Amino acid sequence: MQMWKNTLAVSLAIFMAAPPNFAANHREAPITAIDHKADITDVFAFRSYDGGATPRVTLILCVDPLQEPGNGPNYFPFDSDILYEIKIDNNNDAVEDVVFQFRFNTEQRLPNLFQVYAGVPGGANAPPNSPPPVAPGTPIVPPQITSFSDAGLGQRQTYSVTMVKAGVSTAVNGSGPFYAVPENVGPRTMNYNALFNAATYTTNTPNVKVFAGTVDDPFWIDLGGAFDTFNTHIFPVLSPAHDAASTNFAADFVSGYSVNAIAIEVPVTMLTRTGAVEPANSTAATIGVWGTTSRARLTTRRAPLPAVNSGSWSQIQRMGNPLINEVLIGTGFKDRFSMDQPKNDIQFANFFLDPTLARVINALTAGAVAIPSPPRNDLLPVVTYAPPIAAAGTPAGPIADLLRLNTGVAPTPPATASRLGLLGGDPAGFPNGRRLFDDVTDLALRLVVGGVLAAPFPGYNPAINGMLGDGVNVNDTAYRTTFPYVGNAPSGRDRRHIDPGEPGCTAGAGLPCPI
Amino acid sequence: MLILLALLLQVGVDASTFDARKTAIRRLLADRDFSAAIERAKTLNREWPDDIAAYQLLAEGHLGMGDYPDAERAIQWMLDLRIGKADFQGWLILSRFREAVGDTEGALDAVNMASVQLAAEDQSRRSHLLLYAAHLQLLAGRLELAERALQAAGSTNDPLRIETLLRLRGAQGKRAEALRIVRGQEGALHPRQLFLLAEVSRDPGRYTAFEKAAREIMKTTDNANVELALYYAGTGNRPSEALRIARAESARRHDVSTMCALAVALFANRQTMEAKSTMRNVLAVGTRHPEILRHANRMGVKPR
Repeated sequence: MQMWKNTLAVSLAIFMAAPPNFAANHREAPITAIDHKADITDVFAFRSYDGGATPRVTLILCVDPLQEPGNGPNYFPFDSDILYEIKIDNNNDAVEDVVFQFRFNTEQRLPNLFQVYAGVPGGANAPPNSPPPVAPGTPIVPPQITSFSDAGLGQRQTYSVTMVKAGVSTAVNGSGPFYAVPENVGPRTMNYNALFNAATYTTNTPNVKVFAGTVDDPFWIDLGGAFDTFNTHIFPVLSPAHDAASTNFAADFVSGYSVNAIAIEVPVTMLTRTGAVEPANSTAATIGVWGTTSRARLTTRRAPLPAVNSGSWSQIQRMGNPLINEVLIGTGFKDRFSMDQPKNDIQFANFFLDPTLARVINALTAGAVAIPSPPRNDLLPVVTYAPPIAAAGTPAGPIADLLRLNTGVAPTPPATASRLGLLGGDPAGFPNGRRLFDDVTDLALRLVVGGVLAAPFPGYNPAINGMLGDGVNVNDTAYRTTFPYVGNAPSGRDRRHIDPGEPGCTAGAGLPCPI
Repeated sequence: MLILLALLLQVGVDASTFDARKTAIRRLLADRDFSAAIERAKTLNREWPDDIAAYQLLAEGHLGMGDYPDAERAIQWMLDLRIGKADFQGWLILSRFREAVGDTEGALDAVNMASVQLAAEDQSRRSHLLLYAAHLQLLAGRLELAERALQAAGSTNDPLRIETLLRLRGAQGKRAEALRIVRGQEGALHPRQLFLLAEVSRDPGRYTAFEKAAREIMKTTDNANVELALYYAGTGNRPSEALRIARAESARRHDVSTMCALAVALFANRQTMEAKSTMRNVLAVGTRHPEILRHANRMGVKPR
């Protein structure tokens, strides 16, 4: 009984924690609409495809959506009060067996300057006519930031990585601190690319690499069109030419924005329950991945001293598959979904297996897009361990929103990979895990109306159901081809957001949209 | 709107009656029909799990029923889902939970937080809060602070006022004043309050009036069966009737007051081992209610 008192004593202080941040972005739940630092935008999990003899998995957690790269002077650091976690279920019960935890520490190194990053190539000193008391020649502006030790990096973040396995926590360390890449402020202030390149750390755990920082938002979508009650600029069916193109025919609404990304690459053997690289037909090969953000339940305000967090963690957000909470879960359920555990997802089964989204598309097209009848068992492979992702005979486990990855499926070389993943005949793509370049918007639309993971339902028309899409096929920025794979953040000085009205961005007419 | 409409059709929620259903549950809670209230609140919660009012109703039902772990779960969800945004009712429920598990100081903290949520002109709820604060201060043995809170609450029809006044005057040894307070109002008192009055006054006539009134509502949910069992186990000297009533009531709910009455009735019937075991279970919840502790002390059961 004492435990209750402790728990609720801690809960009391939640109301003193109150970290409200207000910004417009594509947040999927009311609670993260007011706590965007804790808002998970995307989770990726895929077999690393940058070569090497050891089969590895890259796990990426992106948070804090739609960062405007020019939004100084403070920009968008990771929140030191948040516990960021990537969780892995490897025994089909939707409960985490391996967890990677990330905590950030923020250091302010230029307390007298009005912005957190400053620099010019060569630095700038006080000129001969500098009024006293500043003597001519006194350094005023530090040299351009090219490394994490440079003076101009006024706001510097380090982070710790902890692996929790079988209840045992193990620090994942490197030869020095892990620094997070800051926002790409602009070409005068910093050499962002140099910082990015320096921020991939090998660790003292063999074959484990880590990265954290502000990067290009790797997602792409006709976001404004999608939430104008599916008034996307191309709707609902792509032409074969549009479908096949590696370019965009509608504007990528998240172009020119950045997010904060945490990436870790680990050997497959660290993730499977057998500790081995299992073949794809093994029932032990498939793992379930999801990310979470949590805040401490107790915050003590001690002004003028800094606030102190303590107590247990309260989960703010979670994400496994893309777009589940965004376009499947009902508005009255989103917060509960965000804060609950995947093992309890049976309560949301109706949203998974009779998706309202499918019915909306069916209605908006006056039935031209036929949909299967519920229960939509064809969608079970997305929310349980089932073929074609998991090997036949794999225990299905409970219905749970996990990003399932068959670690036995070898990565597809980028040159032959399909943006349509499994539906495009590429066995290493979504919904078997998720790579950065998997077009999950088109995939989700086709999955939700298609029945395509099982035998297509009667009424399925491959020229319609199989060609749904928003006309945004690729990201606005190139992804890297090696870990951490995410692309450079747009320049704060020179960023641009591609608009629907731009030449070519006219719903497929004329030239493709600029990328 | 289409999505909303489809969603509503899908899960069967009729938004227009959602508030009406909450009102109906509040009525059940006021009538102490906890089991029906819980069932309806669960349905409401399943249909709209982000609505914190359903968690509040669930918590109130579980508190009344004596399902403290379930109450805690509902309250924790209520708190987690609205970080930084608890409302008055949420704080009050948290306070009542803390009182139930013996955390009187934590309950007072929650009362303070609830007061922050109140608009200056919301005198009715402010009065209720002050009365509840007085009740908690009384539980903590701080009679002067209880008196101050009671005075600050002012004159109000809130039933908590008469109960707190009677208890406080009893604790202050001001029995005559307690009787003066209720003079002319006794006909309007609930049998539970009549029992309190009888206990404070130790007047046989008032016990008789209580017994008559309590027996008339025995079969309702908003009864005074706990008080009746305590009366028969003690002053009324009908131990077997006390046990019969206490067992029947404890089959319906198992909050600390009901189970304490059962323990007292068992003890009066010389079923000492079961009485002590029952009382130990009551104390294990954490309650520090003075009347419960007094009964426990009589049985030789000490709180841990």
